[in-house]
Amino acid sequence: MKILICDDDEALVSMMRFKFTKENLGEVVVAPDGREAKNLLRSTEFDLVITDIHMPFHSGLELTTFIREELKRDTPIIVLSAEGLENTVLQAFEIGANDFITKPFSPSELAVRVKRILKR
Amino acid sequence: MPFFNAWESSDRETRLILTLAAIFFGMAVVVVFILLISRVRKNAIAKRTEALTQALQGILNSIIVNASVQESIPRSAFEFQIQQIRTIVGKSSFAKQLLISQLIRLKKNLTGTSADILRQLYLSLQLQQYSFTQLRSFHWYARARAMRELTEMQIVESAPLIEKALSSRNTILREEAFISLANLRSTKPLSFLDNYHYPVTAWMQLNAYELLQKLDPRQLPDFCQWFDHPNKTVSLFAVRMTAQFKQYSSATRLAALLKDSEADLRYAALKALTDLEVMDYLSDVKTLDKEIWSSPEYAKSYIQYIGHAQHPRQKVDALEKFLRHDDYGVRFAAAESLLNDESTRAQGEDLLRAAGEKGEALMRHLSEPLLK
Repeated sequence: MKILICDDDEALVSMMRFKFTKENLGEVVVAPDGREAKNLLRSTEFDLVITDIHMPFHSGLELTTFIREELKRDTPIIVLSAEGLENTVLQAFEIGANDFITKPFSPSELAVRVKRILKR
Repeated sequence: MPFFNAWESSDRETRLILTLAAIFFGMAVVVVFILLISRVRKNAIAKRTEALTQALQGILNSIIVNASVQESIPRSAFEFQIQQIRTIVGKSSFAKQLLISQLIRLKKNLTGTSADILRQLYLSLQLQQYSFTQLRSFHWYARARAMRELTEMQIVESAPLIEKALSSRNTILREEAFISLANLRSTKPLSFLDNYHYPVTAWMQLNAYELLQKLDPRQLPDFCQWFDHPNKTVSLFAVRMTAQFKQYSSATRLAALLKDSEADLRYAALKALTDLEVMDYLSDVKTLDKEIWSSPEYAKSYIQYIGHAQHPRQKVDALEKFLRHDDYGVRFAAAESLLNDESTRAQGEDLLRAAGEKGEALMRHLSEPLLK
């Protein structure tokens, strides 16, 4: 399994990577911004993409559109969003996101959601 | 010595040019040297930051993930990890600050046991003592940062010390103290306003509103207690919050403010009554009829209030003059109020037609669905 995490918060990404590795969820690849994420997505097929909404260069919504419209892939996408961005989350679902999790979140909850999506 | 011989035999201008060239060359060498030193220092700090961040992050990851898997980490394991962090950080202020920043950044993104364990870690490493020291720092930014740290970690004991910053001459410190205290005193979040003598800035109002929104409505203060505050900005803030949090019980107090000697307070009270849609104070509101003319923003509130509260015939009489206001927004608000009401629509249309091209334009604007 290959998981792409797109977020510019190094501390949070490091914690997620540690958690997924500990739970044997697969290989974790990190993209600190939207541009890097697009490059990685073009060259590699991932089993899951976890993306923050706000990122430098391209937002999580743009990334979701890119995966669905340009790459025509049905890779599961989990969107990470801040509290109070309900409309943005709805928009993410409309353009093809599979799940969302609101920051602040519990690492265990994220792991549960990731496992459920990867089992599908 | 050929150089000295040449120098002796050269004229005054040549000597001057050579001297200036030597001075500039010397200055350039010094500047390049300073730049090099600064670059080397910056690189060294960046490398140290990266090394420390990675070392500490590894341990923090382990603590957080273990805490989220098991309900409680075995005490010995936790102690061991704390000892590891202590060894890395040592007595370095730089390392302590870096660790606190990492803890804060993670805590903002995590919830539940993971967030609790980060606070526990902050306390176990006695980092609150470092934040307390920073709170007394000479540098304002260190004090502001310390307030944020103590607030994020909910160190309630820091409130009295933070409260002192409410009378600081530095606006940023006052703003940070304002929000910190509102956060730390969750049962009486704005009690410090009683003795607050400086302006309540827009930043404070926005952040306080955001914070108050998250509170249980039963914990919200009764904002009308500050309507008569000697600090006008506190009163204005209280009036605005009364409307935001729909404190209808304060409507009578708001109506009384319509007669206040301060124009800002009268207007804020009018806006609050309009937002609350409390229409029982028509006669009080009408006392502002003449004075709100010069302020388009409040004129619109007045029109909105009159539009809702007034009898149709009197409404037309009261709003007619606003159709000739200099401000387009005010004219539009008056026309909208008249035309959207079935009982005043016909008269409103007649008045707009009588107003000529300007009136016709308003009618076209109001009837255009794309502009609504």
